[in-house]
Amino acid sequence: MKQVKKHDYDTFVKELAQIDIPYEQLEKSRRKSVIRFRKEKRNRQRTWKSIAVTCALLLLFVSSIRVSPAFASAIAKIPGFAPLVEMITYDKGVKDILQNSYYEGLGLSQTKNDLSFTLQGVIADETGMILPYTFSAPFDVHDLKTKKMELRLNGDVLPAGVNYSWYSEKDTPLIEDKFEFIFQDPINYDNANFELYIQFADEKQTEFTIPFSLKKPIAKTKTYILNEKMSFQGQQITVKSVSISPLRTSITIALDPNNEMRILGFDDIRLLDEKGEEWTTINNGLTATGNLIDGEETIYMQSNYFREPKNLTLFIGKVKALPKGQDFIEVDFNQKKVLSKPSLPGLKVQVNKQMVTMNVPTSYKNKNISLLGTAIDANGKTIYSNSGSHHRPDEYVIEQTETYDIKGVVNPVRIYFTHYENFLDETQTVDIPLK
Amino acid sequence: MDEEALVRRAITGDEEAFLHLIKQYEQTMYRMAFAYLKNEHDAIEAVQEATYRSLKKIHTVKEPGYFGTWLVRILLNICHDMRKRSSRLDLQEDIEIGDHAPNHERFEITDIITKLPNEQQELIFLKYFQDYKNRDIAILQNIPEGTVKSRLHAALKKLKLYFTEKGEL
Repeated sequence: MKQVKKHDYDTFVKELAQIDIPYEQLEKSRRKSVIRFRKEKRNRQRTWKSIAVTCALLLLFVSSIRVSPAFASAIAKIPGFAPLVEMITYDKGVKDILQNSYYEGLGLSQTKNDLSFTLQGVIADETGMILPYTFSAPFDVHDLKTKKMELRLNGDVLPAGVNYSWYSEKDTPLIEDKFEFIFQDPINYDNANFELYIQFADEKQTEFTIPFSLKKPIAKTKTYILNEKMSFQGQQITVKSVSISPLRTSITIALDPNNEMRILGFDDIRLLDEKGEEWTTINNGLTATGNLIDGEETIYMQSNYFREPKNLTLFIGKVKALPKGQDFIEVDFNQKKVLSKPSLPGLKVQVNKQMVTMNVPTSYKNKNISLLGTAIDANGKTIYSNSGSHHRPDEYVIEQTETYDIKGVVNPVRIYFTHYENFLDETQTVDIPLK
Repeated sequence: MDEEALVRRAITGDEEAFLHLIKQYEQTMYRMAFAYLKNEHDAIEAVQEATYRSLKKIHTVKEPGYFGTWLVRILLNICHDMRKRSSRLDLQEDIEIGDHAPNHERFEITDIITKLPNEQQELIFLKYFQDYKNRDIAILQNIPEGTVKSRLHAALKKLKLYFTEKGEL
């Protein structure tokens, strides 16, 4: 028996080995796949262009938020809640929202060209909306792309960032997920009529326009003006305000233009209540709007809107900064040369055509962060990158490659750092004046 | 650089590393696709789709050691789908059973294998084509090792049956 088996498989392998390989065709098809992938990647990136935002993707599930399986399974059964179950594992604010039933069910369905789209409900506050949805078709939809997506208020497109993706490794006729809209400015919900518009990239370019309005009252954002000055090794910042709404807590921080060092970011921002419970920054999703290099940024944290803490203290520490003048690199794309770079430990820079590759040392675990920020050419014009990628060559290095659009660029180009792990030692605190 | 290091780089979005890897697997992939689809045009299309899908989903690979297997499974899924969609090919296959035309003799065993139920085919490809250990397959498919062995045994028995029947014709 064994011999027969062996013989069968030898034959099988031999048979396959007889197949001629069309090398040229294979190479062509490989190139086509890569081009298709790059095109789609570019389309995805374009969505974000209208609003300056920073995002983080959760790579490891944070275990600090414990969710009882009973609670998770109970809410998973409510129509439209399944996409939110995952969210509660990494955002305590969303968990509170669901526990406090701050959710409006909608269940609005439309069917066109065999595609059915259902807007399940909405969680809305003055800063944004989460819209859980499902869509299905009598065929596989796991690869279906969207072409356009808008949220309209009384007929006008709302200036907002939108965060969405669906993912299924297997073929599936049903997708359940959520859109997260973050408004550029707080919106007024009086007499507000919304429309969710979505256009799929199927053959017929199927469009759905789903009107909806909200009946439940919208929770008012609690805003605390602080204007508290803090100093980290002589570098000044002002914590201007803290706003807490159901979906997020926003902290607006301004930098002192007279600082000798440029602050790149804050790796430790926490809110602590009197019992020692803490709320941290957003792990997965929108983390900030604005750009610190312009002097002011609003950082988002998980919300504790539905709690009534007696005291709330804001901690800011692990401030990343570089001395001004040593916070950028200068490259010449024509000469394919790095003209200057600061002498920072472990920093490596390469220029190749319109690509810039940078390596920096890191103590981050399983996390990628953007290194290359604003790029300005010799005429003061900002230049943009078409695509970028991050990877970790080893445990202690982050590498980023950006491909810039260098049409009409005047060399040299100055590219500012957005990250380097040079921390200022101090941690500062401020009490939030709750009443 | 060894394959695992390349896979790790590819997972974090390094396109060059991915291309390097896919080049190593491309010919194996093409042979498998050809075994299923029986013509160059479809086989190329299947490999192209598999390359695209794997490039898109490479970030979801959790265990770099299983990259090859992961790739093979993507390709098998595409081949199954393509065959399902094309009734013309199904028809042709029906005729092929017991066909002694010299043209088909080349793929005697391959034809038999590609007619087995999907899960058994996959096991054969994983086991004998990719040369994986039983334990690896069990981890991959989330089933105990014993089950792999018994499924494999069933697949082999069926194969032997096909083989004997054919021999008797």
